[in-house]
Amino acid sequence: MSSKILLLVATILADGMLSVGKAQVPPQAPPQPNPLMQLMLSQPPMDVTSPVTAAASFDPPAVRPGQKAIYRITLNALASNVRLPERIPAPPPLEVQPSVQGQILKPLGNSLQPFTSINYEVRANQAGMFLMPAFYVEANGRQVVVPAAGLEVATDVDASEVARQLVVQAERTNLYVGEQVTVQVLLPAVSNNVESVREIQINGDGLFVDKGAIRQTIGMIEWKGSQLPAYIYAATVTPISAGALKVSAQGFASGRDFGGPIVISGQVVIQGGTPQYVLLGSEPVTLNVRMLPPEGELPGFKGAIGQLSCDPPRLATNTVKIGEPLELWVAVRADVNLSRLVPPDPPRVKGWQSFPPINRGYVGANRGTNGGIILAYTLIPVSDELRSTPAIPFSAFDPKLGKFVDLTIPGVPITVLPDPTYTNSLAAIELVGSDRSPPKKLTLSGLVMRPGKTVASLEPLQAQGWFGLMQVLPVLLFGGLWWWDRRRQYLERHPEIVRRRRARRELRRVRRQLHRAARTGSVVDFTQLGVSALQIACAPHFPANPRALVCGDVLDLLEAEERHGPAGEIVRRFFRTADVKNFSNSAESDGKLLGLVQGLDAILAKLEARL
Amino acid sequence: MNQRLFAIGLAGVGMAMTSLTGFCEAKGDRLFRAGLESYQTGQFVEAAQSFRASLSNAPAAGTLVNLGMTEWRRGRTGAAILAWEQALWVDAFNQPARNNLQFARESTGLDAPRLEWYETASTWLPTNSWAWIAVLGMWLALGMITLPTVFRWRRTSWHQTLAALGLGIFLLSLPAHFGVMTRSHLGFVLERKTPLRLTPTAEADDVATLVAGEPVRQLRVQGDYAFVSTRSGSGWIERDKLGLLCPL
Repeated sequence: MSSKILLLVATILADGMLSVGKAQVPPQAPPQPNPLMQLMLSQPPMDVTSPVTAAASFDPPAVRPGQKAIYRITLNALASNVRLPERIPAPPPLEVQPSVQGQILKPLGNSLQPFTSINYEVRANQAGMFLMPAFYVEANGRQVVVPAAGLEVATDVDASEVARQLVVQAERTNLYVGEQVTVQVLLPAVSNNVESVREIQINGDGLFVDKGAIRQTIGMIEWKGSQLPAYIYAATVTPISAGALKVSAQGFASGRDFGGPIVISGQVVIQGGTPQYVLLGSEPVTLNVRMLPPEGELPGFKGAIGQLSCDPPRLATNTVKIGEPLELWVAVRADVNLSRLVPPDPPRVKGWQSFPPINRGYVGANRGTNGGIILAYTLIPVSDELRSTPAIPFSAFDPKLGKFVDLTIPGVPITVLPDPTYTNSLAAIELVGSDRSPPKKLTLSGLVMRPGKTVASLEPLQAQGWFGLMQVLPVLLFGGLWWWDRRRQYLERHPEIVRRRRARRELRRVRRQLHRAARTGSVVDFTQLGVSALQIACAPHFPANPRALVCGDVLDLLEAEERHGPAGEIVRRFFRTADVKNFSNSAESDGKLLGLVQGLDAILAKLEARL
Repeated sequence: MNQRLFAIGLAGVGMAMTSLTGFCEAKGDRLFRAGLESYQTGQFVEAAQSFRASLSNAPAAGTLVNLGMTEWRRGRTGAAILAWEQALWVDAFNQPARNNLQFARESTGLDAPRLEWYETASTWLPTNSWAWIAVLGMWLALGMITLPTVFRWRRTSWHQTLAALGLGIFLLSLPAHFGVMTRSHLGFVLERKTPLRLTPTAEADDVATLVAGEPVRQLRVQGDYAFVSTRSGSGWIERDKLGLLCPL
């Protein structure tokens, strides 16, 4: 019994181990083919082993003097494997300028053959038969002979025989940086026979060619005054720098090889047969491109240029629960391709968590409106107090109006229902997350339209000589005030100086009046002024008020000899006459006093000298 | 008679000065507008010439900002950074210049000049304002100390408050005042791959290679070379490859 149990356990364990062992080894999956390798293998092989041959020709073979001809070299090699000499050996009368160079892969049976063409513009100003000699070029590492070709220059050549070339037409030539413009490359039909153009390149510095917005058609165009069919290639070009930009084009005229879908309108003739690939160039067209005006830029401008408009925004629903995502759709229409529009970011506002918009598709043009794109904004309300979606700032530059246009997407009324599962703390967390604005992307500022704050020199003020010299003025002012104060204090300690100075000044004034009175013969005034002068001259010596002095006081100041001499007599006569005039009724006046003016002057001069 | 002649002469000189100032301003403004028009049509070389000519009449912060924009468009990073730094030198509150410098340094990986604390303080206000503040503070303090004594005003507390305030302003402005002087020796490398040489000779070994817009500090000058201190070390560079913040 026990041996049977042991056998059973051993059988189960062995089966289990076997199962585990099976599970550890996964089944071998069949090897998946590499899709890139499959794609490469499905392409026809390229013929790079055939010997390279070169051909050369002039288009047209005969021109008038000064007329342009195209010297065209063609080789069955990749353009990157062709090395041309720096100068081709053109005979001196021929002026040769490099033009365009291109490459195309021609179908050759079951393989593709590279075909490279190099064009030169050739002109000759004198008539004659010119031979471009044969010369060597390097192709695939070997020397290949370019055969000689002849150009006839004659005055009697038919002027209508000109070199075929592409025509470039721009919808507008005065543009702003970033403004889209449609550029057409035309190949007019020859004898009503329309040819396709392959490998078209639009050349020019400072241009962005949108390869995703290319259209080729065959239609009627007006060319040199008549209607004729033409191949038309239209591409959207955006200038990305300012200035005069030159646009030109090149491509291979390729018969009926269209290389993609094409719209044909009107009656045209398309010749059959194997296409002949001929590289053509074009004359350049100049686009005058200006910078956007720096002033008047509105919020929400992201570089959109054109005639843009916004349809009224729509919501998926007008009633949401707090915390539920809400999608807001707005159609932006324009007369330009909006596939590269940078949509405006939703504003960071309190109560909303928002996400950048995504493109929800395109709207077609109808009833006079342009086509456009639909932008979808995802917004999450984090408060039940919200009553409308936030307004989204948006603006564009209208090149026709020449100014910025406000296209702000308005808010849409909504009702936010409170959700019991959405707690205040969760709302707060989301709100904080929503308010965390992303780091501001730095850009260059626009041009400043006014010179602004101006200085006389960039040299710091303290290093300029005049500023140091100007500090002398306050020094002089304070020095002057200090000196004045010292002088004032001195005079306060010596008031006699002030009295004497004042007396001198007063004496000079009275003496002038005295002389005037003497000249006019006014005896009364002369007497009074003479006494006053004597009093003024003597007053500082006492000191006293001049009017308080009497004759004796004046005589005391004279020397003893003078006091008893003629000077004393003159003083006494003046005081006596004045006293008679002041204190008696006598109207008499001593007319002889006027004769004493010299003597009085001498006394006053002596007294003044003592002051 | 003499007084009348003097008054007429003084008025004439005043009018001539006013006319001359007005003429210079009008010329500068005309050149500024020409620069704007050239810039907007993409003619950056002509725009730079016009802005430089306008600056030679009167250095203005806005003109320097526009010159920086023009040089930036021409790919001359060093000249652009120098122009914007000079705009801030003229007007410390010029936001476009500050923003452009930040943008330029972020996009080129260049560093801002390393400033001492007193130099940083000197950037808080327009450069010339520190000189005026220091001078006014000093004379206010001196005036409030001396004038009450001279004029025998009754001493009051506001005299002393004003004197203390003036003295405080003067002392506080001194570091910034000094910072302005030291910042005036800052410069920026104008050309790419400018060699920093060991000696002031064309044959000297290179200590380092400086990039356009790198800040340097000029320490002394010898002939056509300036001895500068940079983050890469000290050495001599050609003076025509160095743009000083304050060209003397």
